[in-house]
Amino acid sequence: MLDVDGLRKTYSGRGREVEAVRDLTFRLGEGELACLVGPSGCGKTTLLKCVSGLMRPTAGSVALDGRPVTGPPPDMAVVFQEYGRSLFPWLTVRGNVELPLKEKRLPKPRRRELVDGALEAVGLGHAGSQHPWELSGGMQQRVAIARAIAYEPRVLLMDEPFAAVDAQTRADLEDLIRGLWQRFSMTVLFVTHDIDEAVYLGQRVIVLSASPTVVQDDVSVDLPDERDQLTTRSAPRFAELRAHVYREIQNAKNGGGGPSGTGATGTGGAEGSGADGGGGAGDAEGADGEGGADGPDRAPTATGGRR
Amino acid sequence: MSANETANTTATVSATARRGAAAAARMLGLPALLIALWWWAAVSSGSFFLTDPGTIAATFTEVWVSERFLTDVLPSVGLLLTGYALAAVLGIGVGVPLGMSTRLRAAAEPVLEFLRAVPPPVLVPLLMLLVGLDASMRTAVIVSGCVWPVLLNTVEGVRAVDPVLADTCRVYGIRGRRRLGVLVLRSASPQIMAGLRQALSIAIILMVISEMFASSSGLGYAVVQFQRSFAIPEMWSGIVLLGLLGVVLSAVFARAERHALAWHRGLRAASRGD
Amino acid sequence: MTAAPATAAASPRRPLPGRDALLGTAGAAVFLLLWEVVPHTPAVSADYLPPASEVLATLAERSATAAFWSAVGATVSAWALGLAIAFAAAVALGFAIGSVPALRAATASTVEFLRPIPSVALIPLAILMYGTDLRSTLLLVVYASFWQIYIQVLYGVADIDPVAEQTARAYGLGRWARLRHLVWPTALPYLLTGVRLGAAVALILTITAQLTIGTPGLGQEISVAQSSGAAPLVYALIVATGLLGVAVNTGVRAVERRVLRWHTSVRGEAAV
Repeated sequence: MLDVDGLRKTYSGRGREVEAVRDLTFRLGEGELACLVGPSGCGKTTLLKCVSGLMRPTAGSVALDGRPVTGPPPDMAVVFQEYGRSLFPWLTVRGNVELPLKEKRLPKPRRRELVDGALEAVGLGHAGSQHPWELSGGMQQRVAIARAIAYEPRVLLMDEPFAAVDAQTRADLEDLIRGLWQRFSMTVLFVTHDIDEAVYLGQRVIVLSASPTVVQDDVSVDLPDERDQLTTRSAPRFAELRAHVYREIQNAKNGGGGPSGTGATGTGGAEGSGADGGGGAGDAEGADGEGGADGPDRAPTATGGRR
Repeated sequence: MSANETANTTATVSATARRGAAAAARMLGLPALLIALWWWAAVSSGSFFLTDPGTIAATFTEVWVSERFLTDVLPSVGLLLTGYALAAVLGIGVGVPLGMSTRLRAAAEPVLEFLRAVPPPVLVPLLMLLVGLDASMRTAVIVSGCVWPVLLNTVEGVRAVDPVLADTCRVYGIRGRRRLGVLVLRSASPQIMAGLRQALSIAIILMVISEMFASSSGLGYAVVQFQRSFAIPEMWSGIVLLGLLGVVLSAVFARAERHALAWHRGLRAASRGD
Repeated sequence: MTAAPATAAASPRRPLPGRDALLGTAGAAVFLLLWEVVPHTPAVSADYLPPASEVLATLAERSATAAFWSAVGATVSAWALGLAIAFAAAVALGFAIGSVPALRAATASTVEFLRPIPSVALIPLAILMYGTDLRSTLLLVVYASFWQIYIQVLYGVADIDPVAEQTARAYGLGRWARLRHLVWPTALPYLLTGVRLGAAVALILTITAQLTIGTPGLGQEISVAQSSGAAPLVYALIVATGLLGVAVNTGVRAVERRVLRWHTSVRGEAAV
């Protein structure tokens, strides 16, 4: 239902052209939950802005249900990384969630129903009359999520939504997203730099290369639908998938190494990773060292945090 | 209620009372001291220009609690508020489109920088020369002097709208008047309030001097008349009234600002981590 | 002004640098052109609004006279002297009172009462006490600009990061060392904001005093030109005060930028 075809974006400034995204093609089916993961600075945010219609691509197209996206489509919602800046500080939590519904001209009872339902769903039923800045970071992001689901979108885009919250909160929010996705049957595109998060959340992980960006790999996550922070993360299959994605990202960062699974959409890519798992570990360690030398900011990105 | 509890309550009450008394002493101590000093200086120096506070207070009621209040004070204040309100509407109305368009802003900036730098009081002799200063021209003086701080601060505030919030509005299809009300004006409001605050003191200056210069009534005129006729206690009472006007207007403004920017203070406090 | 120096917001897409200057010049040209053309139309009489060329010619003519420059000199020196006195008093009192909580609490109500008193209320008093002497102007200028600076110093002293304060104490910094290395740098941006606001207010009050009281300077020149009915000259002198105002604003901003090179709010602004 969401088609990204040959997407390319270059920025021009001060007589210099910067190619942020080179050539991206992928497709999301109805009701799918896909994670986009890639090294820092690989143009994930640019991509998301193009998909959401906030930015015009230089070339290529984005289509939702076959209709080209030229501006933000009415049945799409976006959750931004900067929760503190995407909520209106002068509105209450309720006001924030209700605002887009007012613009949709929904009748008042229906608005109330949707707002109550959304706040309840993210566990903030009690906080409606507070202002966003009275809440913790994780709770603010819940408000932004409630606003998105109250909007009843068919597609939900999330731009590194949990990058700025602590690990504990993050785990809760990840489970919340999976729960909401199952309950409201939306198509979700979740952008992250955290490999564990991508594998844990997604049905599918699209791995991007370093800038200028192309699709490095498309991994199908064959973990059971019911996921759990404890058991899922300790499952061997999770570790395999994680290692595979990790290796791809290291390859992507080093520029060379050719995309090992390009075109091998579906389980094929993932199974391949399982097969050469032993050799892969050493590979990954070597790459890790390089990542560290590259710049300290990249190391935590690659290792993905929490263990 | 047991005796113990009663004792506790009494203790709390007396502690509260003590704290209240201390606060009152802090608040009123220095003003009382200054007034006493003034009194002492006035009495002991016997200066012709220095009137003691008691006489000023007596004169004040005599002079201003009379029909003069209706003929001189109310029209002046009415003029001031009308001019101020018009300047606010004009400043915000022009400032918003200028703030939203980079091109317009770039084109208007040098001219605005110049117009803002012109000290507003020079408009008084100008308009006097051209058309004479009747009430509507005095309003025009106030408007043309007050509009700049409002306008320029609005431009700055609108320009600095958070891009993430702007994106949020686009994603959720919020546009037109609702976008203006919920995004643009609200996020610019701290700056707009700062501009309105500057404009308020300019409005008072312009009201007073336009009346001092060219008018046969009004607060400024009355005060200057007292000075010219060496009615010193009356002059002092006029100065006190002007001072009170400034204090009252600023207090009303501060109240309105506190109300309008409650979210801003909360946000700042939250981001500082207290 | 409630707030301290606002942090410069990240500016979106910066267009080519030359374009703004070009648009600005075009804007100014359009403004002058309108000013030139409108008086020739029946909409506004040239008696009320002399065309730009006439006003600028009058200004040029006037600026060849010594009287003009002595008026400018009188205005600038009254402004500078008043601002300097206000600055010295506000800094001394602001740091002394601001860093002693008890003093601060005891003076708060008085400050809140005295600050909003419009300094023009003092005009009759100034006339009575000093006549058309320079001191009349100074009374108004100092009163008005003192509060602007003083309040900012109080904000600045109150803004000291408690963690930094505790760190300084933990390392045994004495009162003077703390003042030098902690209080002063924290308060400096606020102080300069106060000076910027105070400088603008001081110019307004300098001109006001010269207009109403008749102390020598550009304000008095305007009032004389007005009573002789010379509209072009009034306009020319107003343009002169405007230019003076622009000079004051840019000068103060340059000082601010220079002194605060290390400070992020200015760094951000400069980078834009």
